[in-house]
Amino acid sequence: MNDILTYILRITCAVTCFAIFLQSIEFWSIRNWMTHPGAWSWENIRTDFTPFPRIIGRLFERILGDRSLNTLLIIRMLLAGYGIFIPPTPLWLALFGLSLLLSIRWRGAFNGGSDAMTLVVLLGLSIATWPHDSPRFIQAGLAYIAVQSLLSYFRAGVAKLNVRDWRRGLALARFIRHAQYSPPKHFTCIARHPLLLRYISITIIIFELAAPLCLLSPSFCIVYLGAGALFHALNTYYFGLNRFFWIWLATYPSIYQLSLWLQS
Amino acid sequence: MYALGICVFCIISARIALNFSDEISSQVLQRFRILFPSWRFFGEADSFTLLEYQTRDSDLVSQWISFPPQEKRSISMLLFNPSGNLALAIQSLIEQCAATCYQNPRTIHDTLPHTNSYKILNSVLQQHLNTSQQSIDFRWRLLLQTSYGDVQEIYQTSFDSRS
Repeated sequence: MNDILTYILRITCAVTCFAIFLQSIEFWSIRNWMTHPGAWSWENIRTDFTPFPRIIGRLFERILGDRSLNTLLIIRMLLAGYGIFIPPTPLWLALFGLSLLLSIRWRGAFNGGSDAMTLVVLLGLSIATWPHDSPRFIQAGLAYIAVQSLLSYFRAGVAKLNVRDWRRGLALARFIRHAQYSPPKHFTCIARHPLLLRYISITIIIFELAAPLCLLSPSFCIVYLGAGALFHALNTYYFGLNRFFWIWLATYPSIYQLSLWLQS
Repeated sequence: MYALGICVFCIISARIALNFSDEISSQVLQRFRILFPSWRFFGEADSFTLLEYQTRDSDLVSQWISFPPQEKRSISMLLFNPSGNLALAIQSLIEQCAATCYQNPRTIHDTLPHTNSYKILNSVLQQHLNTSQQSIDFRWRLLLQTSYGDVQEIYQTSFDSRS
């Protein structure tokens, strides 16, 4: 069991670091939007920090100001790149801190859910590798990641179930039409069949609500996670949510581990 | 005992996520809202906030143009999609401005221009249009599209972008 645990921890670490590495490269390529004279330059967001005590505001300016931002991005990129290939080390708190700082720099979040899940996974990995790789800490850290990931599907499912337009398939069509990418040709055909849209919407809702069932059977869990990967790949195709794909993928080994552990 | 500990830990973390995410009013906590995710993706489907801008070059005024512009799909965006993610951040900024409009519908013309979201959104458009190098002036408007397809203007700026 401990071997499996260590193996799952290692996969989680590698995929997480890969996801953060990709995020960091993306940030690097849009850094002209984050530094002077960019829209999100410190000059423009400075007043966001006025409610903080003055000393903390100055500290933020020192760390998140335009000059230090590039350094912050490079450190995060290097740490993540290092973590992809090296066995789990206690670098997670550092990555957690850097990711939180970047979210604060983006006035709370750059990419909402994916930023939140990145922090969840990094917090879980901090627990898992703290103070040394003890099986109990690994189990607790991975369980935290798994519960939050399953909760994310379940809550999203409940939210959609409560909206009549989601149950009728109208909301899905609307989201695809308003996405930042023009609707694909095949979607125009699908949109002509309201019943088909309704079936697709209901399938999505059932899929999301079924997340907790992963804990009942490891076999079901594998099937569910396969469907989950496809679901996120489609979300990337339709809505450009590539960050969600990678960071949610990083939580899958933990879900499988929790499922195995509950059955043992 | 250990299993019980893990269960309690998981339940508490889930409860914290559920309780804290619903309403975070404090401005300081807003900066840390990422620690309390709501996980309610695509849960609000009643209406969409859209942004359109119009440019003026000398006396020539353009049509209203939708912003951010639509992007092209490619396989590579699974690995690398900075412009797509930036567009999502801009959309989130647009929604923050719209939320301010809903909170203060009567005093919107006094309150919104003093918010940071407004200032940043204006800078985003300036950067997009690269107005610092050209003599292009612009204005923008926020539109609300309801689930029935009706479009309603909720805010409009004037041709005074460089102030």
